[in-house]
Amino acid sequence: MGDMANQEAISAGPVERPAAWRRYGKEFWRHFAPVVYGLAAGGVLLLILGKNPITFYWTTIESGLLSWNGLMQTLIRLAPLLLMSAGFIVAFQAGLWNIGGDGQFLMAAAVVGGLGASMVGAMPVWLALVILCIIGFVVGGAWTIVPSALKAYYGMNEIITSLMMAYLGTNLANYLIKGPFITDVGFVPQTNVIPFADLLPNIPGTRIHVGIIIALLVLAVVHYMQTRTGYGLRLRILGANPKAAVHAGINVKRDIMSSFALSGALIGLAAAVEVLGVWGYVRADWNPAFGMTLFAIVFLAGLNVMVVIPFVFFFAIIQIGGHEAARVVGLPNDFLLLLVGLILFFMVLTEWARIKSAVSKKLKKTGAGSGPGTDKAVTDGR
Amino acid sequence: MLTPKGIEDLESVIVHLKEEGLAVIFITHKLHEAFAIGDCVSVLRQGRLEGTIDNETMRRSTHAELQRMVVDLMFPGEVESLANVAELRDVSELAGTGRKAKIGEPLLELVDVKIPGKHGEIGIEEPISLTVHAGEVVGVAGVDGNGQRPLAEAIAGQRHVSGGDIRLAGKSIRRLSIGARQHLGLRYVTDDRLGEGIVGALSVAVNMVSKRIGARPFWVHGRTRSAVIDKHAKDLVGEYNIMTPSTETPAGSLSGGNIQKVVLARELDFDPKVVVFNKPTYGLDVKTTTVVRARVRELADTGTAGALVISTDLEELLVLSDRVAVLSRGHLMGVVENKPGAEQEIGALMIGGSHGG
Repeated sequence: MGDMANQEAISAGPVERPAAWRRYGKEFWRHFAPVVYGLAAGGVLLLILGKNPITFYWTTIESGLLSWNGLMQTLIRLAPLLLMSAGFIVAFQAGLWNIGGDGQFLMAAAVVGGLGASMVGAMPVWLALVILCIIGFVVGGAWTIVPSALKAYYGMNEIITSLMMAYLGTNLANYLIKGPFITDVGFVPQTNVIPFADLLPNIPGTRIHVGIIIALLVLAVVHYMQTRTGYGLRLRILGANPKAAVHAGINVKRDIMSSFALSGALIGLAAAVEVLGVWGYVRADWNPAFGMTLFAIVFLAGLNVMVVIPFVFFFAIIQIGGHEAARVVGLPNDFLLLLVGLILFFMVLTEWARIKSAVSKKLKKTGAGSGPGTDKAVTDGR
Repeated sequence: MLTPKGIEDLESVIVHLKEEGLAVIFITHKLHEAFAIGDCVSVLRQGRLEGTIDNETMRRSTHAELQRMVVDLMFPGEVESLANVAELRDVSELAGTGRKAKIGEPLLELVDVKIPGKHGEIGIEEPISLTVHAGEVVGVAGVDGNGQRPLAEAIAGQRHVSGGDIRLAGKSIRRLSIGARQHLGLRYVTDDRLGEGIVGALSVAVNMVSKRIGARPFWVHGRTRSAVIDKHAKDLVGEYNIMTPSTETPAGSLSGGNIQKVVLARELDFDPKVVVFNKPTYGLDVKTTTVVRARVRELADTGTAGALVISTDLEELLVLSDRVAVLSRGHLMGVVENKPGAEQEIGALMIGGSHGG
């Protein structure tokens, strides 16, 4: 995708360099246009269904962003979503399709939920919480070992294997909750409950637990890793051109294993934060299935952990506020998924249009006569 | 790759076709072939017809005049600087020109090496032994797909050998990783520039250090020092005269010749001991070709490094090599000293191979 834009940049003269704010504006619009189109199409759909789109969207914003309670809900939801997005981005940037995020999430959640109550009882609460976060991190990472080893050593397609491990993880997590970790609390099988007072502390003056702060710190570290370290560059090369990674002498097996594990570990940490911050226990058959929607969002954000923040924030508003809005206008919650689908559709469409216009612009500039890959074309463009 | 004999045969076939009343369009980047075979010659440049030398002019003019006309069409205003380019000359004039007298210690030794081919590709099936000394350029001649890539990749460490030993400056490197071999001074200029040589989406600057990730001075304790990387890239861009809008430009958007210069700049940096060049000028224009060849010869002429040049271009091997090994169907047919008449010997070995195999 980037190549086209850059080729375009070469043939443009040095005089036409737009001001920084305009470039950022363009960049912002490139990422955000599909959202606007998607919401507009959603509005048309609401009209067809005989609902008032303004009521729907206004209620969404009002109850997800503008009310103090809704905003807190949104920020609480942001924590696991951001950590999980970071996990996906680490793998996707290295060219590894970690499709099994929900399995890694649930395995970590089950183990953290299962051990949580007894650990909090056995040691200082802060220490228990730290250890439980580490446990979530490790379990999520461990659940990637099978697909990543098969990928690194046998070249097996990780899309298939990580998806298989997601099914295994979902069911094993259920087994753990219904088996070794079961308690007699509640009507549905569930783990023991961590006392409400022992959950992750809140940010003073709010009911928002510190998960969001953990998430933002982790995102900053991941961003630094990706842009400022040799490890980050190795992963980018691995993702952009695996053959070049081998040729450059990069230890490809080691980097596949480590980045896949880091991806799963961040997703496991997301689960730990959600369980320790919001629930305090895990119920059987609980599956928030954040993974599938987040795939789309991380691509919308161009696999950039900083750009992903506003997108995930927006998505959290839709998740929190949309429930209320759907209730108010009288639609099932599934309408929210439809909105996300529309946004994705327009994402593909705008990307296609952008590439097409970049190509035709380039053809016009260089003229049909001179080839794109010659010395002359490049020097002329300077 | 055609032998000199093969080119003669081709010529006679074309003459025969002409007599039968057929029209022939012959496309080549070798000027002497164009003159020898064509009744008239047209020059294409960047998708445009630059000009045509008609039958009448062809008959009237001398070889030197024709050459001047064509070069002028191909590279306006640069006739003088291109006078000695191998592409413009006949093979027999070139034999022996690459030879230099001073040869030092053995640097790269292949001892009874066997290399399996992948997916039906021809590997090195019979054990081969070959030595590259300091100050020496050893050419490897042969038609594409006769074991060249397996050979190059096995030396670089990108492929396992099934027998024998590879030594660098006397030390066995057979079990070393690609990175470890690079560290010891072994470099590989791949023939798959876009496929594995560079990462097209990453900048020129990053591509120039992509084989040194994590190493000082570009990385300190794992942290990237962008300023150092950028300075290094700017120096190399100047030294190799690479045409790029900036060092931050994605390498994939450069022209083929400039991409090859980026690869070359990276591989020849930091004191290489042995450099394996696989088809180093394949698909490049005449000017870049001359630059690349000059770099190869310069490398060996320092006296401290050696080069193995795999090429399908006989002219190239004759202007560069001290010795030329001939590879055919995965067999080493022989090694020829580069001296006047070498082109015939190489041709004979290649033909021997095709009969034998």
